[in-house]
Amino acid sequence: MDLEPGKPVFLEDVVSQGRSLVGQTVRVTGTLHSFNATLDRAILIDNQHLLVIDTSMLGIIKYYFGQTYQFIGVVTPANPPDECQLISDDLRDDSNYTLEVVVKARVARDVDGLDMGVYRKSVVALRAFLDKVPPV
Amino acid sequence: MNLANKTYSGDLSSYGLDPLFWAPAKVPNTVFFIGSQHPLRIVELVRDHIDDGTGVIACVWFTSHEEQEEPELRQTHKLGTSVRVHGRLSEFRGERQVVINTLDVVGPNEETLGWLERLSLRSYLKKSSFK
Repeated sequence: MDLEPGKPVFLEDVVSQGRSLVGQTVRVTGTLHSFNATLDRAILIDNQHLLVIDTSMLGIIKYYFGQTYQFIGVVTPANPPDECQLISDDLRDDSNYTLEVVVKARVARDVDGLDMGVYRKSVVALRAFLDKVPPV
Repeated sequence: MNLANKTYSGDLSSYGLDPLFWAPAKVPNTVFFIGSQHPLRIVELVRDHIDDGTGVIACVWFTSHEEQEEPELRQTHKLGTSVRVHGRLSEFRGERQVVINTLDVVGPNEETLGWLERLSLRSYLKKSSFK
């Protein structure tokens, strides 16, 4: 089975890089803002950045708004009309978001209690290390 | 054999002096995902893949005779559970895998700690005189 690891990225990376990440497997972490069962879409927020997650592959999961979730999945092109209706006007004004891509999640987990400050620093340190070390 | 699956090429007189030689193969803070079951003669094994953000490796769990007799004794974990695996590194059909000795469910901060431990280990290996 050829599985790609979920590379830890921040929401701002996906929002800013958007299309250049299409096809890559990523791991995103953020606070669950809302969930639309009709469209199978969840909205994650972290540091004023907003990302839409496609949860159609996850089955039935109990989501608790305001808790921290981590999703592992592939960045795929979005369908703007669908994604557009998910984001209210208040959210649009207050946050940075992208309607070009969504993360199609295959794994979701509740990581409530995760120290986001330490997590961010660890991801940055890990990236700096992996950039120096050639792949095996 | 070392972690790169090559035979040891160092000085044989120092074989075993490196403290890492005695450390069990540890795959910390990994996310357990996907699973499949393959009955193999009278041995039942569970083969899953775990992902820690830098790579994916297969983990194999050979169920004991008691677990085969009584399925309720088997450990089952939901997709996405964060686990710490201790086991032996091996190879099967050209694919590297870990044969699980113990598997513990851990919290989300353990995974972050695991990354930091690995970075620390890497810088130790860089400076270590045991190559």
